[in-house]
Amino acid sequence: MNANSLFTVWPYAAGTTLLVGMIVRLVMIQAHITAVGPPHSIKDRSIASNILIVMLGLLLVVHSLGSIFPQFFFRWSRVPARLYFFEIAAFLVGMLALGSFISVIWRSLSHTHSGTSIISWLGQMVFLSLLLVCLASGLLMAASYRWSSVWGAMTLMPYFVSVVSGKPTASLVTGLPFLARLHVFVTWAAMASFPFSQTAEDISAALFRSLGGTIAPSVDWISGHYRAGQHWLQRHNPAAWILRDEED
Amino acid sequence: MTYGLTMRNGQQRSSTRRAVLRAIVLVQLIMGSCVLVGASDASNFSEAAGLFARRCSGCHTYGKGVRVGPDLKGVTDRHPKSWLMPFIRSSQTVIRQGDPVAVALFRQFKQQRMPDHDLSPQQIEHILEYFASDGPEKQPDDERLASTATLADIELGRQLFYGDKNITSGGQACSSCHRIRHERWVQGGTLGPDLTTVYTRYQDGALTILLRTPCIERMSGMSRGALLTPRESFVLKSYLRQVSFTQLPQNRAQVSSSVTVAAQNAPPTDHSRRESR
Repeated sequence: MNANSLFTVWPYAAGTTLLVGMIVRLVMIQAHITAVGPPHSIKDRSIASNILIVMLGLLLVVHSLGSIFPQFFFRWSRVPARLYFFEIAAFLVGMLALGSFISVIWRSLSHTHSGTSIISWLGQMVFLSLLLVCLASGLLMAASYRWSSVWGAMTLMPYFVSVVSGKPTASLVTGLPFLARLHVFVTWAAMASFPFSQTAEDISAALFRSLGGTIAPSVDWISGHYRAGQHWLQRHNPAAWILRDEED
Repeated sequence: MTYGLTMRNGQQRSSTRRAVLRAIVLVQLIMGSCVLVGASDASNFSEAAGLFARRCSGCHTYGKGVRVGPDLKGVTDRHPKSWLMPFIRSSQTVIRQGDPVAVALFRQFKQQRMPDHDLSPQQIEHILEYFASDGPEKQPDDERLASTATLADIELGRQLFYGDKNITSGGQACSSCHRIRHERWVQGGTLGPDLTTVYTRYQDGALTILLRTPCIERMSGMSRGALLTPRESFVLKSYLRQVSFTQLPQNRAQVSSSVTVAAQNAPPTDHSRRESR
């Protein structure tokens, strides 16, 4: 796999995995929604969790704005004082996100979660690790190659837009330093691993509860076909006549 | 009566205002069309230069003698436009028609066949205007030596480098990714290399070529091709030259030693003359 396909094919593979994975999650969540339990309220969550959610939300908003309105960042950064202010503020947000993230992971590792399968636990760890690398690489990148709000809006954001529009321009990324390429790659990887995580299950449950009436018919349709497929496989299971002696 | 006078004066004032407004609009239209014509002239020139480089310069020179075909310097003086247009389009057609000038040229240049060119009449006209104005011998602005820059050029280069003035194509200032040591150091980015000594390393020729190439590929929506106009490229090169020669320690030492030598060689002042007596 060369660097070009890493940034042209991999984003679509990750996106497809995310989409299909979340649909499967929504279908599966219907079967055991009562076992998942109600979502935690703000009071139930730790301070670190709340800070993490807010900081990640801010980072997501800023990155999205950089993709949609890059000219705003160019005009904003023309005045040095505004540029310094924005960079320092964004760096602080990133530091808070990273710090609270490490705190949340530490708490998660400290507590044992009964009833969680090994696959879910493994999926959660993989997703959290990738997210940690994503945050850390973003901060290191901002510290090592300053004014990333400007050059990022010139390179990484247009790359993201090119992926979304179906014409990925890998050269916008492949010419950048290692940290920038790592940041992009790990972002896609975290997207791909998300459906396998416990977080995805929690979000699916929350979505199902809030949108239940709207999406239930679609979910029912998929579930119905899924169960029909299972019954067909059971009726036509070759193991029944291959391993007939063992069953007797 | 007074009312009538007031009415007349009021009408005169409004008609004067209308006339002034019309004059302003007319002048603006004239200026705007001059700008458009100037812009289109510049684009015709560069198109013709590109066509000459791609289509003609393989077999023809301009002012440097015969290559495969004749030297094209003065070609618009030697042959009328009415002959040149069809000849450039398809020289073999003109030769087959028995045109005596075309046949003579064909024999003179060892019957080397000039290929037909699928150029539009406008393109051929632009090329002929390019030859008539000695276009191939005109040096593009960005190829001028940086040492010929004025203080105003260097200052404009500084403004473009730090984004105090916008680049015409809409590209970002160089300081977004590059920095210059000891000069607005904090403002420069560190994604790209330090450009303090870039002129010393690359000099005029290589730096001109570097500045013609966009640093980062642009998404659609921004003009592809040259990031900088030839003028912008020249002033940036001038600024980088100035920075290279004033920021390096050895250059600072050279500057200070040259000042010392100049002071030692200076003629004695009146005070020293009085002392020597």
